Amino acid sequence: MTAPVPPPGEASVTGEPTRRVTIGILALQGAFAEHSSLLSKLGADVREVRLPHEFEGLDGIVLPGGESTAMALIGERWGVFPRLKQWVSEGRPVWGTCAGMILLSDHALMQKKGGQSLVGGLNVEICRNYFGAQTSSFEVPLDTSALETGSVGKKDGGSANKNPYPAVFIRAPAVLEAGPGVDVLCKVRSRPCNKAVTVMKAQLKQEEADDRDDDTRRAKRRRLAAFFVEPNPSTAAVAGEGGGGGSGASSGEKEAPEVIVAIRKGNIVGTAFHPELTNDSRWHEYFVRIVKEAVSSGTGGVRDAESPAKTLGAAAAAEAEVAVA
Amino acid sequence: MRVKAGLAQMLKGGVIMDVVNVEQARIAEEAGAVAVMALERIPADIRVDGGVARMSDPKMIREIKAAVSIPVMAKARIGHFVEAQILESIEVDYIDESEVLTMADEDNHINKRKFQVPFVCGCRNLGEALRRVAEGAAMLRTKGEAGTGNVVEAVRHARAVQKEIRMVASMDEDELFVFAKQIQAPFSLVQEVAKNGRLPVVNFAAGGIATPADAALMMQLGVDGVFVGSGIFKSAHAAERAKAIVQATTHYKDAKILAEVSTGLGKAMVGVSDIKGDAVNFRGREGGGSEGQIPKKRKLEGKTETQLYGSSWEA
Repeated sequence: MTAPVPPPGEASVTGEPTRRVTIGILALQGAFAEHSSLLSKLGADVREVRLPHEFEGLDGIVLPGGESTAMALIGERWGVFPRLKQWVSEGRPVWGTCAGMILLSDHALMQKKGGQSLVGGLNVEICRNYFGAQTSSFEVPLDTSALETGSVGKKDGGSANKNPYPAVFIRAPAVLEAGPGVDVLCKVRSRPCNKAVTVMKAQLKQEEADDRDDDTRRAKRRRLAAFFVEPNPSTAAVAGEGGGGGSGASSGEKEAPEVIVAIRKGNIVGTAFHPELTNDSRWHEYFVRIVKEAVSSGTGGVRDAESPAKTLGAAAAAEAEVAVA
Repeated sequence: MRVKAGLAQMLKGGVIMDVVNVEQARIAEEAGAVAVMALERIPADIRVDGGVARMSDPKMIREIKAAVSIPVMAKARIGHFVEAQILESIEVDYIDESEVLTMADEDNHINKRKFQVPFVCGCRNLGEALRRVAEGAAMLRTKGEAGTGNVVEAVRHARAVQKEIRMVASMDEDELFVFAKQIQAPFSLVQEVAKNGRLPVVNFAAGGIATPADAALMMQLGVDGVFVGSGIFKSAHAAERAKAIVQATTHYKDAKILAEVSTGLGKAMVGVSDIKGDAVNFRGREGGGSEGQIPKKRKLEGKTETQLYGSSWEA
């Protein structure tokens, strides 16, 4: 994981010279400079993107943390969002952190009145500000062994938290439900904030008012109800999820519902936390690998996201490429 | 600190707008503001009305929090740590320890390290900026001169900070000790600025921004984002102007876009042109007991190190 990305011009496993990848950072608003400096250190050419014509020549795009409503409103005027939608539909590499992850989701709860525009692409239901206001923001060590194995719980338990990732959550969202084909990379246990509870309760009520009573609906009701097992404390207690067992979670926090904070589907990656606020570049290396794979596969690479074996294979191939360098 | 300063980093490249009610907060959110500052009276009105300006009614802040999905900030008086405790308990996302409100303590600022909630503070120069960071501020802004619609002071303060950062970055390490003393800032923070060539936290522009061009000017002068107070809701078409300032802050280097968004906005706020002649001076308000003035030097009577490093100041 910590091996450096090959410098430009180095031969890859395929024998082709690896060309320097160009990654665009959506710079409408937010922490784009932080992403920029981390990616530059990894040897990528980085460019700020504010207008549709600036997508030309990019191999991958990062949607940074910031305010998703503001980004949506700023981007709307110049047609940045349709261009992003096109990018995502072509299966090209894109990574959203926090606000960026919200933009890449198909469904978002706790939007502003009247809703906001989303780029979509990830068939998940995400809840904005799940953890609450700034006083409930936190930093937690996360098990990120999934970056190597493809999804959570596929690792040898003992070594899981050997080198946890310092994940910074700031007024962060959380994924409540991931649809088919979405790989879950990281989870945490935490109760929703009061505002989120109100919104989810309203949604549950709406679901219960629905006459149709099929399996999908029953499952959704069960899932929503699981968030209200106990009276909600005003501050959300948080514990890093050690994968399956919840190692590191104190006894009280084990009762808290589990939410998803990092996902991948094909070439789309979403993290609810902010890798751009740390000096730990593991997530940036992960994305650069995805971009390089997409470039070398030639298409921008629409991969079959439903096959974990394939993800594992691809990750191994990327490791091999790094090893050659 | 990473979590506290982190929210400010998420606000970068954005516009934070002063609002006094739910209706204005919704206009700000729809315009693309990254946060709103909930306050009872906007600075232009505080200038005119006079009287003691205090923290807002928690009821109003709660209503605004419920109405918008973006972060909500609120102002506490300089040194009034109980107002800050109240604001923290109602979970505002950021507290502005603001010179626009009447000072509650002319000597001491709030010890911001004691709080979970992050603080933003105003500064006129590098020394003032680092004094606030030492007290625990996780975000800075220029003081400018709020409520005037006149950008001149904000420009002065942004330039002063940038200039001093460049100065300190080019200094020999041996020179940093005396420089720290001269600007009355902790040595460790001066050293950090010298090493990184930038402030330890995000720095926004504030105090007099009234047009899209003002916002872009401040961005080109190197600030990370913009606060707009009276400039929006004292103008003819608040919603349009708010949107235009948001666009100008993102596209601050693109003069064609700036021209387009500046077109047909109607009347800007009238403002104050003679700031020096104005009776109200928000920017001079800082703790230290002397409105931010450096105290007079006492005559040195020896050459000891103690006298060099502090005792030469009047008690």
